[in-house]
Amino acid sequence: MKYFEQIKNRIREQIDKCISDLSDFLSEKETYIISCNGDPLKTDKVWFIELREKNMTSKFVISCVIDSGEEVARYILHRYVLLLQSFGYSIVDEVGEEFDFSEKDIDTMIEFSEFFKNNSSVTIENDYDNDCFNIICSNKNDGTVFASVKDISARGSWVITKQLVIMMAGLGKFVKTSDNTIGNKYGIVEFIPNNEKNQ
Amino acid sequence: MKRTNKDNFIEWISATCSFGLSEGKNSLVEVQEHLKSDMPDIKIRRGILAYSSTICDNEHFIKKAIDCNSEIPGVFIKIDSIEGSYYCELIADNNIKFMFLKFIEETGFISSKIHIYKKVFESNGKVTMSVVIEESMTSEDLETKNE
Repeated sequence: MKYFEQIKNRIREQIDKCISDLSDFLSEKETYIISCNGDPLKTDKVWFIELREKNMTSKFVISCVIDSGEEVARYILHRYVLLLQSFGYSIVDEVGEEFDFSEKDIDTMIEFSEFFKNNSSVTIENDYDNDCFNIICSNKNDGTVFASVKDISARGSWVITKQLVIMMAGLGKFVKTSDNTIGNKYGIVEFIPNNEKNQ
Repeated sequence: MKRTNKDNFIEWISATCSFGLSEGKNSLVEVQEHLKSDMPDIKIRRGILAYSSTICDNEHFIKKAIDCNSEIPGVFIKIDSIEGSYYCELIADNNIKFMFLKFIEETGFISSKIHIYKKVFESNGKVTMSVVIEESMTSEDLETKNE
């Protein structure tokens, strides 16, 4: 288990830093421009979903969508818009204009808002079903689907899932995952177990 | 779908390396030749994950490439200075990719596939990068495959 021991603390530090950076970055007083950009090598397989404060140049990557096309990345971007708006953050598109929301979008935002208002503790899972990765937030009998993603690798869907864990912890939720990573906005309090059976 | 700790680690590293502030205005990414003597007996196998710590101040290096399959304490890959008056992500990426390919060749691999995940901090020219070596093959592997 030396391999896991070697890098476990390093990864845990990284996660804690991500949570802390996000908490520092997000403010309900700001308006954020959200955008989706491909990687500099133009592989068309790596997409960064980024937030930027108006009049500022630095961007904050909230999700990296790998092993998929731009359509999937744009879908994830849209789900983050709904999620962040439901948390009270002001999000606009790349040209600084407000998003047009459909009835379905508004229903989703209401669902997100009610779920996260009622649940300070959230379990985040990635449930594969019928060629689709469903990223689900739940607590006991209550739950909501953050995203249902097709045309992406398992690894790509899990990276999105893990970045949602960081986002939720950064937003102040107490988050649990199926790999027993548990944390909140103060960082990860437990981390992946050394389960030899799973090697 | 069977999930392993290794999967989790690789995903956590990918997730955390790409998460956060990016797009530096400051240009300082210095690249120096990788020094072979720093890592005499390291072999990188398929599925390796290499990742970096923050590059800061005047010490510019990528720290810790970790082999998923064996026990190695870490690798230092120094990278050359990038010419130009301003920071260019593409040049930086290509340089880093080149250095890693060279590194892999030096350790006996004849083919490899690399992805670079990277984020650049605006302040102090700090840079954090990760490189995932997704596939690699030695001449031995090739012989085995051909048999």
